[in-house]
Amino acid sequence: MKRDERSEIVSITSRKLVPYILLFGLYLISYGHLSPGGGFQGGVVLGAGIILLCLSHGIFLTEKKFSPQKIALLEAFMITTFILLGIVGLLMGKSFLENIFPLKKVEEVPTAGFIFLLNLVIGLKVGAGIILIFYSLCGRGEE
Amino acid sequence: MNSIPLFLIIISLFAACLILLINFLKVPSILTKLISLSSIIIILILIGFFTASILIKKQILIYNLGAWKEPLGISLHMDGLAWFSSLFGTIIALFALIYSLKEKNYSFKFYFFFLILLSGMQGVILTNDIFNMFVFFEILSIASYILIAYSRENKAIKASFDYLLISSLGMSLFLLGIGLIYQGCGSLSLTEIGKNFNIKAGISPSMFRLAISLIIVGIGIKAAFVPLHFWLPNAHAYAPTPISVLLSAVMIKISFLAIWRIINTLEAINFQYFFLWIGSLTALIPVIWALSQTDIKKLLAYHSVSQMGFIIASFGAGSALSLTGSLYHLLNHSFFKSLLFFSAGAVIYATGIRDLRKLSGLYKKMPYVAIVSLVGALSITGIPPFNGFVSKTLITTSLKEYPLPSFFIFLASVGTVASFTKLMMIFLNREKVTQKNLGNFSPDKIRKIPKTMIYPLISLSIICLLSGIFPSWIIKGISNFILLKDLAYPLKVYSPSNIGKSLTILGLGIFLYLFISTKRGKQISLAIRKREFGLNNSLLLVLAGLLVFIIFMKIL
Amino acid sequence: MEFYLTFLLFLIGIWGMITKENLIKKIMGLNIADSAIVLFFILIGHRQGSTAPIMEKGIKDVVDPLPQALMLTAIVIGICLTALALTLVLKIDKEYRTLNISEIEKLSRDE
Repeated sequence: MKRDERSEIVSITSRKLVPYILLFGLYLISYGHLSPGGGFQGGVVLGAGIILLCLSHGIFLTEKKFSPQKIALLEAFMITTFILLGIVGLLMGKSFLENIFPLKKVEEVPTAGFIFLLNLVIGLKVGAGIILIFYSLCGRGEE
Repeated sequence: MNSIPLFLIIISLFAACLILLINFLKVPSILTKLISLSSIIIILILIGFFTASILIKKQILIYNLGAWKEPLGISLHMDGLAWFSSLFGTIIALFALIYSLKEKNYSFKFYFFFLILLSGMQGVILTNDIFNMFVFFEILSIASYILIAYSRENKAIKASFDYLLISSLGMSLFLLGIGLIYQGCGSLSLTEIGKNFNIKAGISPSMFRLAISLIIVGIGIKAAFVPLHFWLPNAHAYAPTPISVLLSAVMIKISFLAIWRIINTLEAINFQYFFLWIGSLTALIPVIWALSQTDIKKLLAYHSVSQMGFIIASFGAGSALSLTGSLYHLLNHSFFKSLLFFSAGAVIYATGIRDLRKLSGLYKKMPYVAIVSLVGALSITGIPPFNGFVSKTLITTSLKEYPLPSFFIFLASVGTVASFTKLMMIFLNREKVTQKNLGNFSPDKIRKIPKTMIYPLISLSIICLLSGIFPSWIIKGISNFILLKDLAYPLKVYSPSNIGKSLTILGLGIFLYLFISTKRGKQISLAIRKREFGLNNSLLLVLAGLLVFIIFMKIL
Repeated sequence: MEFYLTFLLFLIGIWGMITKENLIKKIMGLNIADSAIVLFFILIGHRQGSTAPIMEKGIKDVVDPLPQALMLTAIVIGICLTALALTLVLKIDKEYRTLNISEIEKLSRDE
């Protein structure tokens, strides 16, 4: 199959689906403390959405939007943020990775506090990591 | 003060992330090296000065992560054993880092994984939660897989892949053991499991033995027990030199100390007798392969396994003297093995040749390296006044009542002398090494060794000498503060009979070397060298080792 | 009974790791063994007649959530190992032009 004979159905469908996949991933991350999900699971779904884009549109096009350098920067930034979040607990006189917000009754997402922040950081990092693994297995990673 | 165990792990992780971040901007590489060096120095100061008092007061520093108390949460315990292993691990990492500054132009990724390896090593021995120990083992392993394959040569990548398969099989076995213990105990922290196993509540003794043997085989793969060691020679030989040092001198020791800790906490004393036999086999069998090697670093890697055999056998004997000898030999082996690996790396850096048969007459060109290699060789073979003599004497004295293991260890010492005589021959002028054998090596093409590579060599050789001449305060420190036992009788290490024994071993070893360098000996060496175990056979032998462990545990 | 089935799955994974000659099949064997361990842990935490550990109103007895949390970590580690192993296999394939372990060892011994 020549390069321009890419199937229209696959391309249009994946383009419509990817925002919902990313939204679902974000939902899994945010509601991780209440229902099945959490940082890692949501992050993998985020990564899978971008990989779907790579598979259906070819890696050259996807690289223009989600370049390996930017994603590597995101990943490095996220892991530093995680350790800094832990250290903030230390600076406030409590233990490492302890809950720094006052405890509230956990029913909805905005009251979740610390665990929500941790889930978010981990989710973004895992998503970035999965995308980077895919890029380097295709030979387009930063080398 | 209580939060210092946390900082030992966090500082190197944070420095690693900083290195990753700042390398997105175009910074000079000196900044990377500066950050990694300063983080290791900070860790060393924290261990050396601030927590040295825990030894004197015999207290344990406990830090609960996230302020969740035990038994619910993960806590970090720093007792004497953890202090000891953190200290020597960080010292060797400091030397390896100084060595690597000028050796090759390592990219920032090398330093990133180096610091992660270091934090993994600290985490394994500091944590009190058995699953957290598994996680830190995996952090350690993944960093080491990447670092072994750093040079991207064929053999390094294959060695790393073999190591990956064998080690992840081991970690799966470890995880199975954790599952069985959790099923019986309901808790994951080591102190809780220790209390519950005394009452033997909820788990049958045979399940307990199965769990312990799975855990020991799982960690034993990284600690170089005999049927489980086949990944080690390739992995340590084809890694870059600072990584070989860190793996050989620290990682296998820390894995062994993790087994020590688990056995002590779970009070599974029956297994110690079995270690005696495994240790003596581990001491003897790799020496046979080491005698036939021609690659410098592979010879040293086989000897790492053999010396671990000494440590394991001495741990198996169980008396206060043998435990002290085991820990002391662990410390000494870190120092002299890293000295030997550094000097082998210097020889390879200068000449570009790894093959023993092609090198000769290096003493004139590299006098410093020749002298420190001599110090290392004398230490590992146990010649007075160096530190190997003291620890080997402790081990052989404490194993006197077990005749067959003592005989194996005696044979292993003789073989060690022979192979190190073979290694030292590269520094002398050998007439038999003709011009056609030398190939590309001509004496004018030797690169000059940078000063930063010499400083760790000289410091390590001074440490080896000093700890050989004044051993008694180290021995007292180990037995009183770390093991919390008293050595019953006063020790006379430098007695005439001990010195006579080591000189006998020296003589027999030189005789063995002369036999090997004959034609018949060379034929046997070639036949042994061709018998390299492949990946399938190594995995099969790991499973065979597991079966042997389980059967023995059922019998005991 | 189920414990023996997970143990059988683990043995199948290890059998695949040892017997198969292709490197990718070895990695698959490792994955199967990891999945078997995950199932084993989740079986440990199971209690008869309890429901999933989601804290909503009116739910009293739940299964043990601790092994499930441990297994999240173990799954992540398994993914990292698989990714790393596949990268190494890619590099081996480029160098040796084959993925068969016996041929690779023969080639590397002759080097």
